[in-house]
Amino acid sequence: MTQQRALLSLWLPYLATERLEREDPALAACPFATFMESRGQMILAAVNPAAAGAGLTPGMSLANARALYPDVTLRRADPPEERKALESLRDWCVRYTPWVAVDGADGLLLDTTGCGHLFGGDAAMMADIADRLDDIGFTARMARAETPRAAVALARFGDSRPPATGINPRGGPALRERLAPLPVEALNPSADAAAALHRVGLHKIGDLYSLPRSSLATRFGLDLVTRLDRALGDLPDAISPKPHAAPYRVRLSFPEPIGTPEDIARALDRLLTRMTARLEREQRGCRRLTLSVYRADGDVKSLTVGVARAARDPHHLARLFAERLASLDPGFGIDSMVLAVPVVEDLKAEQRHAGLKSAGDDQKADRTGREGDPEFDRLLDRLAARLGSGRLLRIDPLRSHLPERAGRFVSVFHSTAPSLASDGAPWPENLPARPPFLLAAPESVEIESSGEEEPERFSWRGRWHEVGRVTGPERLSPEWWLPAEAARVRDYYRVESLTGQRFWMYRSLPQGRGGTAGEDWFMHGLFG
Amino acid sequence: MPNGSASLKASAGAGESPAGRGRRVLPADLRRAIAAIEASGGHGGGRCLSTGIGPVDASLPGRGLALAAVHEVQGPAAASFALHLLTSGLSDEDCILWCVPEGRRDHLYGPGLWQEGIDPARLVAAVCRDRTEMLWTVEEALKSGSVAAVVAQMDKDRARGSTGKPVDLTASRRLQLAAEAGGGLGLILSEGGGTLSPSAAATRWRVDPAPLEEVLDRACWDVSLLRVRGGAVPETAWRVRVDRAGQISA
Repeated sequence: MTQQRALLSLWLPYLATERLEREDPALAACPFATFMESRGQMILAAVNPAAAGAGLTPGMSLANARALYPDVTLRRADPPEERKALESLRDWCVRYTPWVAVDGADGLLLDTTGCGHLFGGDAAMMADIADRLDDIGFTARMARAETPRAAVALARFGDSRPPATGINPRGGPALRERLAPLPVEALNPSADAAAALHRVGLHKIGDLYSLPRSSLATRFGLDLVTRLDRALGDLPDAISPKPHAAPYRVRLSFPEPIGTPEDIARALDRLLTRMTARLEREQRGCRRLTLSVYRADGDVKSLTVGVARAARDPHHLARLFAERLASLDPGFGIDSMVLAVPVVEDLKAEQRHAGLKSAGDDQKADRTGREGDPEFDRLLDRLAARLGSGRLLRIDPLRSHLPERAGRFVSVFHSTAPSLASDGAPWPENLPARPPFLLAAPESVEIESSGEEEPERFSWRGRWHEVGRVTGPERLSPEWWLPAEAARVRDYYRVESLTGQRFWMYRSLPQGRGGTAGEDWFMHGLFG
Repeated sequence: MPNGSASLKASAGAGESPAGRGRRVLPADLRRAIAAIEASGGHGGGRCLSTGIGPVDASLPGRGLALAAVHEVQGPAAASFALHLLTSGLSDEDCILWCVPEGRRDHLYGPGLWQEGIDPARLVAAVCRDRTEMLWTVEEALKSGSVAAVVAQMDKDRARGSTGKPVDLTASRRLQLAAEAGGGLGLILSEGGGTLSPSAAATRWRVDPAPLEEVLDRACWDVSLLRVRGGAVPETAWRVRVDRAGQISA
């Protein structure tokens, strides 16, 4: 069984005036109306509640309105701006459901099927919409129903209680009963049909239920029957939400399959030019680009390149691909190529680099190779295109006293190092000497000593070193949460061989320090 | 000197394609100009980087390590000497690319680098699958001119004898050209040991560790300058000591 649909109609009766009142709050306090020209006459287009209370109604001629209420504030109506305001409200409503459509000049239709529970229930969601709209200065009347037409009819022609209580919670009387008391105008029939209905005394929707459809259609037109059926859910009805933005995808097809690297590169250039032109227009940049080639034999190959910072420079992007194009096997030829950007980011226009070696070579020297240099980011992008982004690493500090945890290799594309560097020293100060090179894992060392604590000779990686000088120890305790039997203390020594090589070694001791049983020596770092 | 670098490229371009050498005859005065430039050791305007070691600077053609050039450092202490060159020569904001081969067992260590005076935030390590990839990475980085220094640890291990193929003349010439184009400093480290193969690098060094004179000294090396391009090798061997306060004596 399919889930019962839930359509929410939002009617903004004062959209035109509230739009202006938001800009100039003083307008809200007094009778205020917009006017427009219609058939050579100035008429009121929209009135605010205060003006309505003074007896002004839309459609009234301007002269009449002035006579009725001389102090009325007037502004010229601006339908395109009103439409824009409505469209931005539509975008705003996407917070509730992705299916939002504009309904007429002053309404919105939301397909909230299955969305209510996200906001604590349907009633809570509608209250939330009303509250938030009120906060931003719009009055809304709302109704929920199982079909779009019914929701609209209920919102606009339902009982005219104050807006906040115009909410029709679900689970009320069945749709037919709810629609029955509404005037036939709620079905939005043509003016002729409406007049004809009233002539024969059919004033409410409920009056139509008992009449045979066929005679309704012959008397008042098929359109009316269709509207009624849609409102009651006997005919399917859909809403048309705003289309999604076109995907960032460009395609190039070839009359003849291409295969040479030069042709592929040229085709890629054209795709990149088109893609980056669009990105430039929309002030966007891409972080990842995927090139798919459709081969004549039906196979599809694709290449993806990533950049550290949003980019849209076609030359830079082409260079990233250039490293990888060679690995693209064209097979018997390529029929078409598609370049797609899965994710775009905002990227403001920037001045393009001239790319010239200026005469002021010293100036250039001042700038290059510095942190934050965009050229450096570009270089990293190019290197990552060939090596892979996981092979360009920065060392990020980590607060741990265990030596192997104090520095962590992180892909430059994920590193947080630069931001850390700004708040004081990211690396611990006042440590005893640490080697600039650390072994990936401590390596076992064989020790020879004549009863002393410190070794006289040791063998590491199959070579014997004569010990010249030993400095230390520096004791590092294990993490306190380790079980006592597994935890071992490390005594670190700087050991210098007679040839001057200096090593960072540690002796691993059982925590209890019960004799020297089970003690082992490990090589952990190299000073140089 | 823009003219100088242009003619340099022309000469090297001819060298790269031996087949074209016969056709491409350089005018005699151009040859002389090239010889003069190469002899002066001046590349990319002849800017140099102090090694921080007085006597060593004094014996180098430009009173320091030439920028826009590639230098080779051999010997077991090559890496620590390279770190010293980076700290003494570069400013605190200069970016460094450090290339290591995949599978190398000793890695750069943040706290240690910090103590050496290099903020790890300005250093990026590139892990290269093989030698070709490493040479490509170094060349690309040097050419871009967006890193102050590119260091390549060519060997997988610092033990003697573990050296792979030395960087051959063609490769070193490519790197040298890339450095000239970009203006940065290239350091090629081969810790496994020395090679005397010809090379286009501006200098070639050998650095061995030496026992510390005092317990708290920072470092001590036996540094020898094996080769300077376009110049006779002057005084060649020093014992360089960095004491606890960072004072350098040779």
